[in-house]
Amino acid sequence: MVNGALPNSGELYVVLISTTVFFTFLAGFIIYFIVLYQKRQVQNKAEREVLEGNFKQEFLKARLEMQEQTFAHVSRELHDNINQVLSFVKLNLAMINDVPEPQQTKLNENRELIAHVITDLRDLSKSLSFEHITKQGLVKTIENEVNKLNKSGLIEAELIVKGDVYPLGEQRELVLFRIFQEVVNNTMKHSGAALLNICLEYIPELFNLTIGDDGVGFSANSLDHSRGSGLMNIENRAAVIGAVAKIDSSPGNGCSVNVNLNLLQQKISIH
Amino acid sequence: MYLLVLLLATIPGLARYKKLSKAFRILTILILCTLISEATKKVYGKIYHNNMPQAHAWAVIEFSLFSLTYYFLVIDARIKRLILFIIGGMVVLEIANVIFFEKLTQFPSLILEASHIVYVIYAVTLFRQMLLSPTEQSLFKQSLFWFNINMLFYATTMFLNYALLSYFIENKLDIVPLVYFALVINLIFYIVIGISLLMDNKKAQISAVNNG
Repeated sequence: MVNGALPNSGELYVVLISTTVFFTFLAGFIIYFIVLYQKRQVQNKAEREVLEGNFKQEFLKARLEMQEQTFAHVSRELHDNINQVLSFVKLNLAMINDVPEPQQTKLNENRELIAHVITDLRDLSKSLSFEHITKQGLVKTIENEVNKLNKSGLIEAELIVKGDVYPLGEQRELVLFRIFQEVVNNTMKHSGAALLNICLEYIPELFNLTIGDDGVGFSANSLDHSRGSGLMNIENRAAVIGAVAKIDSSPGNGCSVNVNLNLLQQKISIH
Repeated sequence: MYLLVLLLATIPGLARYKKLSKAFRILTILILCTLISEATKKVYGKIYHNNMPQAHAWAVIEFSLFSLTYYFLVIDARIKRLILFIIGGMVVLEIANVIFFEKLTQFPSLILEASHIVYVIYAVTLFRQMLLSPTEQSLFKQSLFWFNINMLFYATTMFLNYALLSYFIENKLDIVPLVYFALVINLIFYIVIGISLLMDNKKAQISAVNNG
């Protein structure tokens, strides 16, 4: 202690004012920092979400491209190699004449079976081939698949096309067709449905693909891993082309998959 | 009271030492050293009737440990190098201070004032770093925030205290209120350090750096 004098009112004011100014400034700085930090946090989170979204999109695209390359390779192999070998086998069988009648009948049956396998493989090769799908267009390719399903006798499929058909773009049509294949595959494997309704709706700047069945249906909570990831695949594929997939199902009420592609919104977001 | 608060602030640091990040480990050592220094200062004072030589030594050690804490908190390599340079500079300043300005028997106010200015710079630099790479964790749950705001509060308030102290001395006024004011500021400072030691988590900081 220097001495015991108390400050007079003037000195007290100096002390009080300087202390008040100091603490006001300090509190102001702290509040400003907190507000700024929280603003940055929100901004950072939004940026990270955009980056993660872009990364996910690119990752999905790359995965689909790889898948398409594999499909194209398998398709070529089926068409150029296996189909050729089978055709050769069929030709060889046709050249065998000097055999007794019962064996000849067996040979003819085998030739027919091989011819059937060749047709099936050709169809499979076409459904896998990117070029074939883009060349034929979405409606024609789905129509072929529907015919195949009806021919198989496993399920009764009906295709309805509403509106004036217009091209959606190679990439979009290919993805939509792969979604269609995935849904049909799931229906055949799990639903036990007798009826399959496919509806392609072409409205200007808006496209809708709806696939519904009258199968056993399911509840989202009861899905096993493979089926759950199959449905996730549908949603992911749709997201790649900027579409939204909606899956509606409940036990005993079948399943309906709707893919909605808003072309106008995509044009706006590009611009 | 003061020693008790120091002891209470040291306990969470020592108890959670392995869970703490490097910077907060240094801080724990610093608080422990402060406790020892404050305890021995009283004994030293009683024996030699002047504990200022110890205050001189402690001013430099305290500054070095706080600087090391910031050294581990900042990311920028240039600032890290600068902190090491400042520690060296402060040692030189203390030697010069003892030789030319404040002898070993006098209070080392020059070093303490210089230290507080540097602490403010450290705190502002760390706030800038926090703003440049914000983490997802709530600001109020971050030990870094509490430590840094505490440092800013302590350094600036103590600086104000020194300013008022010199004004009071010049005008021959009663300095007892300022002594109590400084004591309260010190108590708040060590309590908040104890809280930040309780909050700090090495793993959370690593993930925050990765996210940032």
